[in-house]
Amino acid sequence: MKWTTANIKHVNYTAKHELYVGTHTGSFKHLVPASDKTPYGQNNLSDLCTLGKDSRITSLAFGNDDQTEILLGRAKDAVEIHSFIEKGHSRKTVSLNASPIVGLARYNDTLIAGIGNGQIQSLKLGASDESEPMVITTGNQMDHLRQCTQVRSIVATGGKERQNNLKVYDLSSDGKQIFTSKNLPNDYLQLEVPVWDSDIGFVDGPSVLATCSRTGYVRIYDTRMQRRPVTCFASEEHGMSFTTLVAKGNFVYTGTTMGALKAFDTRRMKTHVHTYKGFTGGISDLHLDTSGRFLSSASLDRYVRIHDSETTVLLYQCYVKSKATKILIRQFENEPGVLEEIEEAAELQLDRNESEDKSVNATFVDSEYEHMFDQMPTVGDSDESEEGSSDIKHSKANLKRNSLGQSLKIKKKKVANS
Amino acid sequence: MIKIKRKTAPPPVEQDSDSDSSFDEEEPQDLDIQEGPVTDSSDEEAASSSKKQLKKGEAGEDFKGEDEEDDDDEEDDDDEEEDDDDDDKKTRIPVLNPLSLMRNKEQRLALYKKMKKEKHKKKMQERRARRKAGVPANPGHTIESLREKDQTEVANLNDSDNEELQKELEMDDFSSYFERSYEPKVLITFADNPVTKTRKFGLELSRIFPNALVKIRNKSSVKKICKSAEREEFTDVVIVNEDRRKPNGLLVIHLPNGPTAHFKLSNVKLTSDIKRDHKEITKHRPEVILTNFTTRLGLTVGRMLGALFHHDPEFRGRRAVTFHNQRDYIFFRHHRYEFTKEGKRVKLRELGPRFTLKLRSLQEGTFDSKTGDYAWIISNKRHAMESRRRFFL
Repeated sequence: MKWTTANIKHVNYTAKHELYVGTHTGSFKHLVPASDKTPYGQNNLSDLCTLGKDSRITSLAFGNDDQTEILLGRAKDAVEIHSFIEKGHSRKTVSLNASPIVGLARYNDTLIAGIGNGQIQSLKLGASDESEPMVITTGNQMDHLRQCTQVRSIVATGGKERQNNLKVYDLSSDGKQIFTSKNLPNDYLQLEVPVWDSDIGFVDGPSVLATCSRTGYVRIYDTRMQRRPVTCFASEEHGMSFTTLVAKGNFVYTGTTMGALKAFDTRRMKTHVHTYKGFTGGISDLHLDTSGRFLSSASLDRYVRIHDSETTVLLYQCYVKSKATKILIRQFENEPGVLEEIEEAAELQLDRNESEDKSVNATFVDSEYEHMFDQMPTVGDSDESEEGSSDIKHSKANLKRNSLGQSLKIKKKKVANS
Repeated sequence: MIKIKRKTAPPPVEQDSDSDSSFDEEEPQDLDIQEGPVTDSSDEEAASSSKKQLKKGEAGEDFKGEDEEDDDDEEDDDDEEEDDDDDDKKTRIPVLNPLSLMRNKEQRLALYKKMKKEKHKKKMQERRARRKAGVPANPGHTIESLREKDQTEVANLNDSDNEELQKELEMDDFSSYFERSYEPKVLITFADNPVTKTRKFGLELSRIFPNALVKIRNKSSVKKICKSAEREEFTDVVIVNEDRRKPNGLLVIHLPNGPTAHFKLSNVKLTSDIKRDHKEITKHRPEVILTNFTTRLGLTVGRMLGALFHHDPEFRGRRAVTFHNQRDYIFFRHHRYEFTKEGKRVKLRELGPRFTLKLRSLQEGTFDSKTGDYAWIISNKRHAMESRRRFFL
């Protein structure tokens, strides 16, 4: 498909999804690509008026397996918990004592937050509001904290510099560190290889991890085997700077600061296997749906996109008005009431231009299509009906004329080309 | 034989005249007589295709999504298909100007002149009628009017659906400039060992930006420059790069926390190159005119360029600095305007320098080309992303 800036929904994109998008300005948006009427409608779940300079959304995560609860962290020291269990949605704010929040997770009733200064803070949610969070210090800087989806008590952290390398903690046993990675051996000049684990992903289970780096490597660790990476991709000559990573099955998807989104096969890490197109800005976040077939991405060019992870086709693209920093994709439960509500809300917020444009477009395509069919000579009809020889002759003549016209056309084209 | 052809010949002339009537207002009639007969057929084609395109423009914007290279051919085809349906007689054949078959040169020329005159007369009549009726002139089509619609276009900032955008503008890196909380202070520096032309260019830039300082870089890194400039309370850093003894790049860094824009710099004409004297340039703070930055990215770039200047122009100095965006190229001009004695008309006098910018990348944060986040870059995807009708600013 040709690249364009317009909002697109691919014809073959029939899977029902909804997107939650966090932006640089601090707005938290809900998009429903599944809806037929308003696939680009977006409604804000947070109040625009209260946003300040430090309300940039820095982390977004599902709080439970049903994906009905979303944990939202901003560049300030408060966590919002949005739950969508009832028809509406409820919000609760929990405050921590440090910022920015770079990763969030929930394990039983404990809220786990990774802080930019290298701490992991965990807080009992049911307890009284004034309780002090428990603090684990991992280093002096943190880029990301991720939770293992299979074993929810396990979290991994990573950051810039050697002391903030990949570490895995088990929160069920009082936050014990169960794994810390070891850097590659020094290079041929006996210089240290720079470490910057900008994002981490669990590859099916708590023991295999993938990290990517802004210094340009993707590494796979197996905590059962060794502390050094098992396989590694290094892009010295390409100078790719990876910001975000998501892993599923044998594949690791990473996005770079320059707007390249690549898929790697963990069995053969020499080169990438897929490239996903359409980005003009750096990729800030990726999220896979539960089936692993749909790859949603948030980009600094103010678009969110959904690609087919196998065929790399761009399925959906929508302009979200401010720089998207975080994204979550989720199966859309088709409750008619909810859908209507959302559509109504979205319609209110939808660009008038956009809707007009779309309607015009739709009618136009239809008319053209019909016109094309009108033009077609009806060959089969005349044969079947056998009304008379004259009819057949007529149709033949028609055919001839058409072919004549065609040949003429070709000639014309040639003339035009020359 | 000739008569019949003559009858067929005039229609294209008509089409021609009404399709681009607006263009001809400034242009003198083309008096090239010899050329006429040869161009006739192509004229007709162009006219018909233009007509078709206009129709399409009315029908729907999205139709432009087709292959642009093949557009003309396809449209011709469409035309013919319709003709075929009506009847076979109408299939168009390239029409020769009958006059071109005439052997006698003098007569031919005379007839041709006559034809031309009549054509012109007719056109003028039509135009007069149009003006009387108060119908606006056909704008014709340019690359700009055929521009692909951009989803991110910011038509009106005060629209109700731009609430979020307003909020963002209140909070972005330039908000403090637009709140007038500081006076911009610009540091201008160069690539290492700049040649004279580049140095002169830097010096001229310092005459344009009020409160600017030119320094030789002294082999320090851009990151270091940013750090020390921040310490010295500069608000912007401008670095002029050069290649083959010509300035070819401009890096604009907004301090303290970005963004960083990298522009390609071309067609640099210094004040001396356009035969002006730099003594004409006064020390007054200039007005800044930013035109045609329509998309969201364009808005950011425009704000960035605007933030290099002081927010209060001194109108006494009558200096105006223009950044005009056209098809993603940003043209810079520097003028002084003068009123005539009655104060009714204005004359513009260009002062130097003049140059053209093209955005290469826009990066978040201060300069960090390796690991910094790019808000916009299409460096290695230009063939996939660029098109003659798609513009980013």
